[in-house]
Amino acid sequence: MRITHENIDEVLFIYHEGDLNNDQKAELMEYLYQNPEYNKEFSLWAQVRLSNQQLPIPKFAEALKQKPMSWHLTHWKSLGFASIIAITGIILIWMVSRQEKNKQLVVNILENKKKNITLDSIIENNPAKNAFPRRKSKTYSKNSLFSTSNLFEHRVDSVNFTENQRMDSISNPSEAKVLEIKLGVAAEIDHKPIVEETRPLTTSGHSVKPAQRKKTIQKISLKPTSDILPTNTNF
Amino acid sequence: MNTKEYNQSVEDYSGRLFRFALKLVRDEAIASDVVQESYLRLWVDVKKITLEKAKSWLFTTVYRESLRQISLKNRAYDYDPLDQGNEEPQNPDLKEILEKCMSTLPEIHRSILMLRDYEGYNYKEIGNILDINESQVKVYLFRARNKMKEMIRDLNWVI
Repeated sequence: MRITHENIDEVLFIYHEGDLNNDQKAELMEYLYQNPEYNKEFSLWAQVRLSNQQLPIPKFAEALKQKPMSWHLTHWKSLGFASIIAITGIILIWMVSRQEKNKQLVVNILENKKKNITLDSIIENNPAKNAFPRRKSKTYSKNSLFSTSNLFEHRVDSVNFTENQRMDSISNPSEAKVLEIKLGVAAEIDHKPIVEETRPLTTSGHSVKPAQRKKTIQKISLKPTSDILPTNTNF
Repeated sequence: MNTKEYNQSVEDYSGRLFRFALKLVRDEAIASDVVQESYLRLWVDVKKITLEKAKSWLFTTVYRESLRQISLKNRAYDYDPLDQGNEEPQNPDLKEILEKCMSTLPEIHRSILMLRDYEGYNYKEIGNILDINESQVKVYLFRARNKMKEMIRDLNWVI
């Protein structure tokens, strides 16, 4: 770079911008030494720089700041996804456990079928049987029969005790015999309603009309064995 | 850029941006409006702008917004920067002389001077902020400094 009277301002500008290398700097110093009238120019170029004073933060700066959003607002998508997965998991677990229970119930029913469990044996094995007063002769009254069927439908805890208490009030032996027959047949045949095996007799021994008969049958028929078997393992 | 980084940029650059805008528009209220508007735009695009680019992005926005404000102001009344000189004290020090000289420069020269001296940007960065090329930055900077030098020389002669 050749320094002349025409480009001295440009060179001084570049020097104060810090863009001259060492050789160029030395050349400029030599030129200024030989031409002292440019020393004033040199100092003027040095002055035209703005001083970078420390600035205070403006008053409105605080108002410009943003409050950070809470985590549940920023991650609402993830939270929603996790909730859906959790709910689906709970439902699946519940369904599987229910299926297992049903499976166990079916197994129990099949086992009981194999063992040829009758209604009498179920009643005998029932731990709740001591809760009810019972005659040693195993003769059931009409009322006690109903209370027995209720017992298995509602699984012991919902048994109506007042019905059982009427058991002691039986007086007619023929009535008790009829019901004993019905109960025995019902216990021997599985899944068959007692309707088919019973005779159209009433507790009083008179024949009944078909409509009346149907009503009576409905009242004393037992449910299939699978329905009356207890599901509670402690039962 | 997240909220924390945004708030950090407010702390770090709001003062500099305010000074930059104030030198350009020469009105505190307008300058603060310009800075607030720039930060508002930054917040709108906060996801797109990284912390590293935030500073130059903010200076670019402040510069453009300042030019817009100046053009609006000039439409309202004829503004002559030289009229401001009448309020200056008789024996100003160098800082005040420079301030006065600055006020006479065109916006582009003023912006380049401030970005160079206050913020320490190089020619390329200044070019990116002001949307001009590097050689133009050099030319404008030389002209700005040369003009200020001449004014300081004239004032020195007067004093």
